[in-house]
Order: sequence, then structure tokens, then C-alpha cells
Amino acid sequence: MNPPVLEVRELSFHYPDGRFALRGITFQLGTGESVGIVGPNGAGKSTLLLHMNGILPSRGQYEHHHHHFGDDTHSHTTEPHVWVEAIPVVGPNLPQVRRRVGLLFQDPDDQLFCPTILEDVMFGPLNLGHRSAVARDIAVRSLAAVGLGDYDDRPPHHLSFGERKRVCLAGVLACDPMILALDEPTSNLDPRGRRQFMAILRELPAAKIIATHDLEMVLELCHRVILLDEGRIHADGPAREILTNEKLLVEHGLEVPLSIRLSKPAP
Amino acid sequence: MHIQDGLLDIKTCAATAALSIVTVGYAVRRVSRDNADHRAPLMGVMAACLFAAQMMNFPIPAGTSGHLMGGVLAAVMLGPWNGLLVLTVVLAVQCVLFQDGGPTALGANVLNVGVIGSLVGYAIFEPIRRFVGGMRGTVAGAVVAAWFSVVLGASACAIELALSGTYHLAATLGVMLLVHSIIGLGESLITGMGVAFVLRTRPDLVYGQTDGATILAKSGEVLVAGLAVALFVAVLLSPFASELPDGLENSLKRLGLDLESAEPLMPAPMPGYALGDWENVRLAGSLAGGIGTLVVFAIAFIMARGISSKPSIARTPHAS
Amino acid sequence: MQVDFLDRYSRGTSLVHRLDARVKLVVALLFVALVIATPEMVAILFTEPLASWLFLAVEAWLVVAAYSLAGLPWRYLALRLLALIPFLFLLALGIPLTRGFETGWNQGAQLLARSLISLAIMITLVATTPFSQLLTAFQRLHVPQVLISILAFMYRYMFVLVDELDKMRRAKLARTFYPSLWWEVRLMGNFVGILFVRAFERAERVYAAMCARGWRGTAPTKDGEP
Repeated sequence: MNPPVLEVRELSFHYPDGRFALRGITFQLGTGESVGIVGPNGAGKSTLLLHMNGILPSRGQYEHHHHHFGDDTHSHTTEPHVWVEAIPVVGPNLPQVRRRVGLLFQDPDDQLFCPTILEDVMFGPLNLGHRSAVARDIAVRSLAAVGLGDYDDRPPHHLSFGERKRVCLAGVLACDPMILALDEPTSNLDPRGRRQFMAILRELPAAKIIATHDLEMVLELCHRVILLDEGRIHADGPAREILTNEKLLVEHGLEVPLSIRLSKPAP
Repeated sequence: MHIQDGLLDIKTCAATAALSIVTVGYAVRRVSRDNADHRAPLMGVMAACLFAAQMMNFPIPAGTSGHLMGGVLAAVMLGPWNGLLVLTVVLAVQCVLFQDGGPTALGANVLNVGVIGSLVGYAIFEPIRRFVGGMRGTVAGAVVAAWFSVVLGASACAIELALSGTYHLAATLGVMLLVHSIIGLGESLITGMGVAFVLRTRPDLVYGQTDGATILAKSGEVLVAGLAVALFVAVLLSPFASELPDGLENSLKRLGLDLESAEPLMPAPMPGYALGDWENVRLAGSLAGGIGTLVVFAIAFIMARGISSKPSIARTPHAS
Repeated sequence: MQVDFLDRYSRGTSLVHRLDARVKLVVALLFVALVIATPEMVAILFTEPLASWLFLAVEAWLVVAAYSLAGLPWRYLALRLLALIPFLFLLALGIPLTRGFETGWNQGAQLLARSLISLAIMITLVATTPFSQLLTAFQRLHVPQVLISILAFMYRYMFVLVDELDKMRRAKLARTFYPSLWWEVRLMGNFVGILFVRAFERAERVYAAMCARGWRGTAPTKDGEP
């Protein structure tokens, strides 16, 4: 049995006002495995993803005047609770961790911050230490892989929403991560955009952890599902098993995907 | 208030540009020294924010409309030096990309809006804030500083125009002062409300706002601060009202610039009133100063009262 | 905000488009300075009052030549200039009003001419240079890196924030039935506050996204242009 590429053990996180966002999260992810994280709004899905590459809990990493991005989290020690390829996700290891975990945020405008698309996709490789020419090659290939090969020097705001999401994906792929953490990748995409995005995701060999409301996508892309609610894992198992469990899903603010409901024989 | 190309002559452009470059250069060194590279995204987004905010117009009684300059707002949120840099970038973008303000006048614009807005504005803001204390101090200080930044900036603009030989100083200064005291009220209202809003929701985002939760100011202190500044303004305006214009004029005459060369051509609306008469600049100046100070402090007082005396617990970061 | 507002024509292939951005920037700025200084410089050399006009005419012709060489549409230039003419006209009018009519008219007219020519120069520069090239030009001209970074981020998020403002405005219009000055000003204050808070929070997310791709606080060296 291969060692897990991602391991989370007893991960907890709460906000300054005492509200818990995550409690005792424990699970593992194998190489190339894809898991869908599902749950109602506010379950802690995005918060969980932000722990995968150490953005949370942050210790003054983003220090702007007197504001600390989430620094008031109670980590009484710097004990790791997340391991990526057996590397503990704590302070000094973060650069290595971030090479291995590609995090795709929900709003593409938060992630496309360079004047042109090509520059933006080059950002990752350049930070990894590649020389300019090499970074450019990688960026061009990544853009081609998401079907945006001709768009090099366009500014992000010239692109449609779906195209911007794909550019973000290219930017993450350019770092060649072995784990892809995606936060609501298909939200606000039109049906075609969604299909395109899913087609790209399906071909990627990296392990995927996808936080989403799109249960149909989970059915198509993920073998495994973790059900999160109020910061706790309520179920962790094969997708088919969990997503057909009507009682469980409804109890946690979800519902059985339409494709399954329609395929069930009428009572 | 963005000066276009052609209004200022080369020597004024060069002089203001030199002043601006020196000041901005210093700000760059200060900010870089504080390792502000990772604040660049924040400052850039703030610059975009200011740009967007400047697109909002508010109607003013004179029939035109005014818009937010944002010098004091930027300084209060980000600190004086960061604020200056942000404003410089905003002005540069407006100049180059939107042709709002000419490149030769960029030095003057940075001086009037950036340096006077952010640096001088902060210099006015900070003592008031400290004196009044707490969030109320922040709001009161911002309101007052915003008004002064507009009026002082307009005065600087008038002086620059006169030094360029474009307009007659007395005429421009009088009109500018009056008009901008009103615009300044809009600026102080909006700045104050903006700052108050941020203090209510994310007080941790305001530069230097550490004592928001602990020090509660009494409204009386705002009044005292108001009277103190009113006194300061009166002291400031009185030499201006008597000696300075003549002094200024004389020294400029010696430099070869004759500011009195225009004959009054517009019919005098009132007996004894002539455009271009220093007497009326004094009048305008006193009027502007008087109205401005009173109204601004009324606003500051009211808004500071509006800040609740109970600190909001949920958002204040605490060490753990 | 119309997203192609700034870059509608900047990706052409004319000679002007292909010039190095640094050259274009420096030439444009020097040209503008020249135009502004024209009356004074001419007064030193010639006493004939019409001499200034001659020089201004030559300068205007040069700009027009550059503009047409760049293959840019005339309507675009005309519209941009026309939009500013009323304002400039008023400013120009101020001169004869305050300085006397004998020399005032000439001075005022020259002010108008100089302003328009400078505007045309800047419009030509911007319309033929994509913003990313301008940024690189600034960088190569040794503008401090801090300012370049702020510029880059500002440009990127300008459109996003203006759109946010528009959305708020539209929502406000939908629920404003009896507008009053006080109401407007109060709402503006709130808008500014909201805009700032949202901008801060976006900046935090952007920073997180940058860290997620390995950023360690200093800008990676970029070669820039193809």
C-alpha cells in the first residue's frame, strides 16, 4: 500500500470570536486519488482547503499594519496536523509544501493578479526558481493544456469568467503539483464552461481534493466523498455510497444528485 | 482639481516636479525600508479603490459637482507615506491613461493632492486623533483633516497658476477658496463616513488603530479640539489677511511677475467689490475659514457621537 | 467599465505600435514639455507674435502625422478631444478675463492649443502601447519597484472595483425613490467604506493566492516582453 500523499490528523481551527470552523478532521489521500468534499454552506470546506498548503493557520505571514490574516487561531504549539508527502505543513516547510499542493481559489479575480495572462501563469514557475525562458515555456504549455493557447498577452479582464477560471487552473498546473485542491471549481460556470473544465480535470493525474456543491461533478470525477458539516466529518467513503444515502444528505443540507434520483425506479 | 497641460509654465512645472520627486522618493525609501514589498498588493488594490471612489460625483450647490480626492482617506487607512505613494500612482494612472491632468503638471498635482492630501492631511489628523482618542478621535481627525486638505490643495493650485503667469492670483485664490470650502465639506463628510464605516466593521484595518477598544473619548473633548483648531485657523488666516498678500505681491513684483496687471473688466456686482481686489480675497479667505471651521467641527462632532461607545468585540484581534 | 476601454487599439502593427515603449514614453513626455515651453522659447528668439502660432502649428502637424501613421481612427481622437474642449475653453477664457483683453485672447487661445496638442500626444502614446509594455518601460527607466508593483496591481483591479461600484450603484438606484442631497452624500460615504473594506479583504485573498504559488515577499525577476 502506497504511503498517502496527503494526511490530515485531528485538525482543528477556530476564529478569534471562538467559533469553531474545523474540529478533529482526520483523513488521508492516496496518490492520484480524487475526493469530493461536500457539505452545506459554512461547513468549513474552504477553511479546510486553506490548511492544505499552510495558508491557515498563519503566523503573521500576512502582516498588514495591525491586521493578521487569521493569526488569532489557537495553535497552542506548532504541532503539525497536516502532512504532504510526509512533510509536516508548518512554517519552515511551507515552500516545499506549496510546490506540491496547487490551490485553486473560488474567485478567479483573486488569483489573476498580473497584467497579462502569460505573466500570471509564469508567476508560479518563476517563484519555483526557473529561469525566465523555461518559465515561459511551461506557461505556454499550461495555457495550451487548458485550451487557451492563443491568449498569451491578453489582460485578465478581457476574458470571460470561464476563461479566467481556466487560466487560474493553468497557473496552478504550471507549478506541477501532485495534489490539486480546488474550491468550488464549477461555480458560476455556464454548462459548456463546466464541461470543459471537468474534461480538463478528468485528465489530470494529480490527486484531487475538490470542495464543491456540484454533486453531479463529484459523481463524475471523484471515487470518494467526505461529508463535512459544522466543521466535522460526518461521512467518508465511496461516492456512490454516500451520494445515494438520502437521509444522510438531507440531514446535512444536501440532496441526492438528480442523475441518481432519476435513475431510481419509481416507488 | 487635476491641472491640465498648458496651464502651468515650464519653470513652475519643473519646480513642483522637483519637490514632488524628492518627497515621493523619500516615501519610497521609507516604505521599502519597512519591507513593504508584500504590501504592494494591498496598496495597489487601495489605489484601484480610490480610483473607483473618485468616480462618484456629488452635486454641490454651485451647480457643478465635486468628487472625492481621497488624500486623507488614504493616509488614515494606510499611513501617511503609503498613502502618498498610493495617491501618486492614482494620479499617474489618471494622467497617462485617462489624460485627466497633464504629464507636465503631474508634479503639481502630486504636490497638491498627494503631499498636501496625505502628508499634511495626516499631520493635521494625527494630533486631533491623539487628543480626542479612540475611534471618535480617528473620525473627528479625518473629518477635519479632509477639509483642510482640500482647501490647502486648492490654495496651492491657485498659487501655482499665478506663479505661471496664467491667472491673477487674487482672483483665482478668492474663487478657489470659496468653492473648495464647499467641496471640502463634501470630502470631509464622505471621508468621515467612510472611516466610520471601516471602524465599525474592521477597525483592525485602519492604520495605527490600536486603542479603539479601550479609550473612550468624551464628546466634550471633540468640542475642545474644535475650538483649538478654530483658534489655530484664525491665527493662520490673520497674517494672511493683512500682511501676506502684500508681502507676497511685493516679492513677486521683485521677481518680475506683476500680478496686478489685469484691469477689472467684470462689472462690479456690489459697490466697492471688484474682482481681483485683495480686500475680497481676505473676505473670501475669512469667509471660507469661518464657515469651514464651524461646519467642519459640527460635522466632526456629530459623527464622532455616532460612533458607539461600546467597542465591538467580535472583530478586534486579540493576542492568544 | 468597458473592459476594452484602454486597450482597444493598442495591439496594432504600425511602426508607432512597434516602437520600444521606452522610446515612445520618453519622446512623448519630451514633446509635451516642448509644446508647453513653446511660447516662452519662441519669445526669446522671435518678437513676431505669430511666431508662436507657427511653431504650435508645426507641432500639431507632427502629432497628427504620428497619429495617422499609427493607423488609429480619427473619430476616437476627435471624441476624446471634444469631450475636454468645453472644460479647457473655460480655463482658457479665464485668462482674458483676469489679465486683460489685449494680450488675454492670444494667451488664452494658445493655452487651448497647447493643451489640445499635449492631449493628442498622450492619447497617441496610450493608444499604441499596451499597458504591460508601459509598465516594463517604467521599470527599465528605473522607476522604483514599489511604485511599479502598486501600478500593476492597481491596473489589474481597477476594472474589478469599478464594476463592484457599479453594481452597488445599480442596487441603490433600484431602491431609491426620493433622492435627496443628504441621502446621496450619506450613501456615498457608505459606498466608500464598503469599497475599502471589500478591497482590503480582496487584497488579503490575493496575497494568499500569491503565497499559494510560492511568493516569498519579493517580486520574481521577470524578463517582461517577448
